[in-house]
Amino acid sequence: MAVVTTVSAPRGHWPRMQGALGMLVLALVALVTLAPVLVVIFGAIEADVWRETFIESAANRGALGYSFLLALRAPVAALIGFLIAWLLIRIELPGGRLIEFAMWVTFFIPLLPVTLSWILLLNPHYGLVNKALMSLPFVHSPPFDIYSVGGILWVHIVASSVPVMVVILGPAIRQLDASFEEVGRTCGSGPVAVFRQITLPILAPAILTGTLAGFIKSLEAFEVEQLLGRPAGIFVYSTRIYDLVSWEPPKFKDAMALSTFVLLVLLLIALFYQRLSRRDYATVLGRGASFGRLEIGRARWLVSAALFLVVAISLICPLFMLVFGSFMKLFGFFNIPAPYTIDHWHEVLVDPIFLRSLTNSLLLSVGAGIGGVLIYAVVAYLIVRSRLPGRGVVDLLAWLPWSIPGILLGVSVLWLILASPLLSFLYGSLASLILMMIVAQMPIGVHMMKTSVRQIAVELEHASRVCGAGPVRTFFAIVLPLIRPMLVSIFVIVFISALRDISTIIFLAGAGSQTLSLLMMQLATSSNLEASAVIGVITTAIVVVAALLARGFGLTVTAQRPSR
Amino acid sequence: MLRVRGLTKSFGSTRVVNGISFDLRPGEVLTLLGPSGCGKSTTLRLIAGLEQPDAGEVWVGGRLVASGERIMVPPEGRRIGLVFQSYAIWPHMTVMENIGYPLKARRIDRDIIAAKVAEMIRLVRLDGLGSRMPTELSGGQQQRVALARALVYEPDLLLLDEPLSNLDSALRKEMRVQLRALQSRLATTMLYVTHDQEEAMSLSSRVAVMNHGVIEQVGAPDEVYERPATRFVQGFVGRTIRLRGMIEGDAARPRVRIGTGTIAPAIESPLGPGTAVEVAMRPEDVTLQSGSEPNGNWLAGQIIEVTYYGDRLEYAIRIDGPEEQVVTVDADKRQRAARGDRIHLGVDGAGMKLWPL
Repeated sequence: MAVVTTVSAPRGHWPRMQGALGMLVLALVALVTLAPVLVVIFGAIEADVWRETFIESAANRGALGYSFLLALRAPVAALIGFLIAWLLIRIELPGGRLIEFAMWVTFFIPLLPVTLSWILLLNPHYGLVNKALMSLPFVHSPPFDIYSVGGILWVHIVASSVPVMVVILGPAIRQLDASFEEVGRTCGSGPVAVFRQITLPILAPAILTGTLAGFIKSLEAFEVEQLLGRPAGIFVYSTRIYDLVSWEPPKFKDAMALSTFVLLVLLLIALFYQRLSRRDYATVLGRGASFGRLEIGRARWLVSAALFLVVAISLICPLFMLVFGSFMKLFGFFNIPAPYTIDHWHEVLVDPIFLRSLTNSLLLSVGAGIGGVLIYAVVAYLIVRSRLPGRGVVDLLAWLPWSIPGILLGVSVLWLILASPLLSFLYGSLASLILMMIVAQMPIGVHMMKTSVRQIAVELEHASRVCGAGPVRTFFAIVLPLIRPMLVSIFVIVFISALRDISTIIFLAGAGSQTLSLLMMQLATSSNLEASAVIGVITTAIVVVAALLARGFGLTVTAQRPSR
Repeated sequence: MLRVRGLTKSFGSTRVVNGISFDLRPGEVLTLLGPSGCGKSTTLRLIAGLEQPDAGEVWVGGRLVASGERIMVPPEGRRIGLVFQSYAIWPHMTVMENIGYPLKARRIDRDIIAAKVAEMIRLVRLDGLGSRMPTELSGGQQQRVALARALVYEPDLLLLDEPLSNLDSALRKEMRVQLRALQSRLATTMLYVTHDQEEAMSLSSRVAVMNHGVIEQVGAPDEVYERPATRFVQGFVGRTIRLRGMIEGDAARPRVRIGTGTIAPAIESPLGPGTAVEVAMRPEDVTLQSGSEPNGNWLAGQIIEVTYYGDRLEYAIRIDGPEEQVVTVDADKRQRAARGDRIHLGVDGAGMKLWPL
């Protein structure tokens, strides 16, 4: 009896060798994304551990409590960010483009240097704002204390959460056809009623997904809490893990149990997020044929001034203070004679450790950028265009690191390395850091690549196949060149993330693979805030230059002018 | 019901609407017809209050609602209904909530809203779909929701911006009939914007043809088609056959030389002899005469291409003369000529227009 095999290959049939290669890539992705999760869960599988971790340790419970308490900034930031993005897009504001550009730059600025600036301003002993307010007759004690829950929330919200939301929610607002609002006006509602009854509810799913993303990201935050929470005895999940693992010997089991709990919560949120982001109103949102902007008359000057104030608080003031701080003899002491010096710059720039860290940082960022771009492109291509078995699963798995906090990824890999002698060569090597950064950035990288690959007309690839090229050659000769702009964008995103990263690599970087951000963190926690500020200025400068270059290459989140 | 005077609007340095004026009587349907970018949508948006004019006045229902940069009644204060090309049905509200929104915005009693919405739903034939979400509706149904929403509060003026162009052609025809029936039943005053001349002709009491921000002609559909005021109007409304020629003879009885032939237009023209002109005719004013003895006004030529379309034939005919001029003419299937055949084109002298070149 003849066996009939049906070959349905609308996406092209793959030669056996190249198919095997593809399967290998998919398997590797599955391995590197699943391994950390499995390590964490299996590491915490003993019954005793759970009792010890959650019932007997008040510190652990406290850390979880603070983590979730601080995560409540997400909805607040989402609402503020949405309002700002809407104002920027729908109203012709004086300086609107400048404001939007500033938000975009803020989006990329590393958090640690900004935190240093806010210490200068809001430190209870020497903070400039406190001092200024205390010179008033009726203020007798410093009104602000940066080392508090409020301080942590403040730094996060102004320096990161709100600008991130402005950048994330911008495209959703831009996609919304202005006619939804315009019909509302002709139906007899004023601008405020239209915003409340139409704009806000239509974009509610986008705001909610933004909130969930912010929630997840806030559970991963590390450096701000480390710098501002520790002195006040405020610990969150990530800083608590850091302590547990820094213990001698490391308390891995506690760390794993704590992580398992957080991981489950994050995965649940991520699942909800995925369902939500798929169910939007895309079908009726139209083609975003945005017409004119709203006229609000003189009020636009007021709105513009308010937004410039936001920019001043979230970007200009911190950068200014950071540069100030790097030139101070003693961080925060403006009253001593001759408070300014270039000694710290001199000290840092001639330090061989600084030079090594700079080299390491650039190697790490460029390495992760190039490696990441290539791997994400291959994975995205396999998911979108191949018919290899398991590509659907890998599509899901590639999303997994999105909900894994950096510190958790670091701990699990550290544990793997310590547990298996075969992997010990990875410890402290730059290569292992590069690999971790690639895994950590995989969700966004693969997601953006997929969008890009889908936009290529499949006929272009078929034509290449008909001309005699196999899938591998087609990928390199046709697909990669066609998605070049996206390659540049993703490279920059990975580059900047790797340059900024602290929590993912803090456990794995050895003395030889210390990076700039780790050095900055180390200096900051050992109270050498002046030198830390110097490195902060340098890191920020590199990030801003990279972001500007990327913008030149089309990584844009700007408003296209509505034209008629 | 609507009066527009000297309406002008620029975006940047381009003047999109350039001083247009027209009136709309109660119950009348006026169509702004023109190619994309001619300023017709902007005119509509100026009337709706979605844009502020640089100059000019808009009166709705006897009330001045916009005057240059001085007076600007916001859209919500203008008592108008608006239907967009994209329908703009709010995706977070049900059909009923969408339709009832204008009444809600006017704080009308809930029972009255329910009754009026039910009546509108019946009127636009959406019975049973009231509690659906817009995502569950087809394009035609969404279109009717948009219409019901615009009509529910009995506005003084209904504005429609290419409301049918997102529908497929069969549905478009059906909706056109329904829209017309609805309009004559409710006696709504309508300003309709479209680039589709068939839609304009069949729906409106008057058509205003727009180009480059000005109205080139306003008139009843037959007037615009048969007596176009400008070359643009003739070209945009209906099909046109164009030939180049030269005026000969005296001004009282002008003749036009086209290639080696001449024809006599039965119209008066201010153009004197020696003027180079374009002779523009409607296809139905041109007939094929295959007999050897032509009569009346005619031009001779040779068939250079025959295309078969099933229900008809199309000839490409090169008119005799030193300059190559080719016209395409529909032909009856029974009248079969072959490529290379000589043929005579009979031309109705009353149907042609002469435009100076």
